[in-house]
Amino acid sequence: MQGVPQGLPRKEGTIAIFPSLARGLILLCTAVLGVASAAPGASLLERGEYLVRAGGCTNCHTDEEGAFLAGGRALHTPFGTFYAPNITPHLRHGIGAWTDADFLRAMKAGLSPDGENYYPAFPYVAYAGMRRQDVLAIKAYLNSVPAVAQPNRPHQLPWYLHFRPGVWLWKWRYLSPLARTTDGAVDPVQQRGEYLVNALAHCGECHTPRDWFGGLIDAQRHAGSVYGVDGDVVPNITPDRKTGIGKWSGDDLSFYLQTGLTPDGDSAGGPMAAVIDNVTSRLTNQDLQAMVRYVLSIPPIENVLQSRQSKTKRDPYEY
Amino acid sequence: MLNILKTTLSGLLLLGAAVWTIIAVAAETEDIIKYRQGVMKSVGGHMAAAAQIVRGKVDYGDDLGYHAESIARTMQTVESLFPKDTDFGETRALDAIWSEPDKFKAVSDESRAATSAFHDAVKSSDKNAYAAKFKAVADACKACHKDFREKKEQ
Repeated sequence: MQGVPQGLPRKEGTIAIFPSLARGLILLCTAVLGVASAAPGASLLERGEYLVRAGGCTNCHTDEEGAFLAGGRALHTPFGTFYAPNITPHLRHGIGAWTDADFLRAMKAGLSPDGENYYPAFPYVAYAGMRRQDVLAIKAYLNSVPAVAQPNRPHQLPWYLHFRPGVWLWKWRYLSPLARTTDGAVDPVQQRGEYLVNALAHCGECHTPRDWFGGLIDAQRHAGSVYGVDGDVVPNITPDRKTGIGKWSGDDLSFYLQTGLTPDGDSAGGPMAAVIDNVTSRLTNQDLQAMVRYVLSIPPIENVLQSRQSKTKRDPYEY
Repeated sequence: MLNILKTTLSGLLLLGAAVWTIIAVAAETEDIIKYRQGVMKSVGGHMAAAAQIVRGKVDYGDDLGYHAESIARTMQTVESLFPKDTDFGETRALDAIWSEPDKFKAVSDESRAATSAFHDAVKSSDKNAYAAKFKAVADACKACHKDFREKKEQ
């Protein structure tokens, strides 16, 4: 592990088969088709762009009416309202002045270049499982997008969360990428799916319930949560037949992730509609299939979710 | 004395009328919401059926035109399902429908256009064409549900 900053996962091993496998495949395809390979710079940027989508970066860092990746999307959580910052290469307001090491440390250890802790609304717990070269490809792509001079909005947090060093304690307890990203998947497709679901697309950040301190409850991974963004109920996506998606076929799930249509003809709405638009519908078919294979291989967990504060529970005559 | 009696009586009458109106309006609202949900569920039913055919899972191609037409016809007047003041009660319709009418009009227009295009494509019975148009219908559903429907509770 040359030049890897401290606090990085020791996880590279499980997914290390991939780069070589992928590289081998690419070499094979290039040889067979006789395609002249593009300039390495361009392919790095393309890969970075793909990973920025797959990692869901645009989903939070781009405001619906705002400039691309210039920040601003409000995340309403039980721990306050967070505003995703500007990650365009603007020198003052964005991350244009960051070194590769700064970026790696932010993504995988949740630390700013000044050594300040990020709140875990930024899903570094998931990104910690990302491969180093993928993180650097993302950085390369981010450096190539237009710089936008948009200052960051400060988070709106309750008083007891203003003390940022407190996040150290949180990280000490909850930042364990080793536990979060390995399920012991052996099949390479499933392994790719695991990487996409857990490290990149960070599905569990919403679909896994959280404990009192906002840490993900590992034993209930992907079993759904009533503490979703904007107070929503987030469904159980383990293949439990009663309370999860156990009745969905692999085809049903990939169709849903491409179109938002459920097997009963309903359409995704709310935050998941945005995730489908920005993330899952943009995956290559191969990655989508891998994601589906992995999700349907998760051990089913029975978990009935009861909404905490739903409009439909409100007394109709209450004004 | 008579004046006091008259005042009291008319006051009571007015109050009664007001209460009666409130009850009637509330009842009507609930009926509209029930109707709206029935219509939306019927669209969902046609979508589920059409999806199975479009994806080539089942061999009921002859019925696709019927599903496509039902979806398209319903969506032509979709806004009429959301009259003002039907945002309380047992509904997941969000206030944004009435507070952001321009945006709501835009997604309604899109769903009209997409469902008509799908219906037309099915009539031409070119499989590739209607598969793409079906995807556009799904996108239109999703675009509206993203901003104007409360997320599901289980």
